Amino acid sequence: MATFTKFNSFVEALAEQLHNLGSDQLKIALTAAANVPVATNTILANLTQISYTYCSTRNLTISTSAQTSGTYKLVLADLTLTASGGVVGPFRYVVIYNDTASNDELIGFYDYGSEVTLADGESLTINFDGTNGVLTLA
Amino acid sequence: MALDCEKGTFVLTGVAITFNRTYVIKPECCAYSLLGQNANFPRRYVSVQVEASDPSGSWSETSDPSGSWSE
Repeated sequence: MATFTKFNSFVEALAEQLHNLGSDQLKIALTAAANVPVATNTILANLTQISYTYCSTRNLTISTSAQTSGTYKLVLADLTLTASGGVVGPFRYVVIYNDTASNDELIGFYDYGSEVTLADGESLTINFDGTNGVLTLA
Repeated sequence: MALDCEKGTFVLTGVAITFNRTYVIKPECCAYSLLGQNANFPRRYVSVQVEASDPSGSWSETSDPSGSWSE
């Protein structure tokens, strides 16, 4: 299991209305092992991303954004990244950011554990937890 | 009068995920599998033929001492 690492600035950005997790377009960014995201990064420009020339859409779909009994939960649909026409990578880190926010504010990231290169036709599915969501706020 | 307020605490919790990777199986990988060999067998001793006109649809294998592949 790949654990979620929060970018520190995300909680402030959430409190100061930079995110609307119910309607904004969240997106995936990929970085190589040499370009490790760190918790003190704040915006997408802080990261060195790989080329997405042959990568399928990186847009995430919000399944639900709601609270139950005082606990907010964000649930995202699984996303399959497919290489088409060439290779994608190598990459290791999968970053979630807000593509709607003014500076593409960062939310959190996952570590695949090793570098991966998708050959033409290969794919990687990011399996978000459909029950517990991506994150909760309580 | 004063009202002493305790701080409110919200806890943000991130949830772990898993990855599923899908690979493209290349023809030579199929040959390894069909021949029951491991991936390190000397390729030059084996060739694999696909008989397009073979009504049984089966694969055949031949030994090729010259070390070359045949189609």
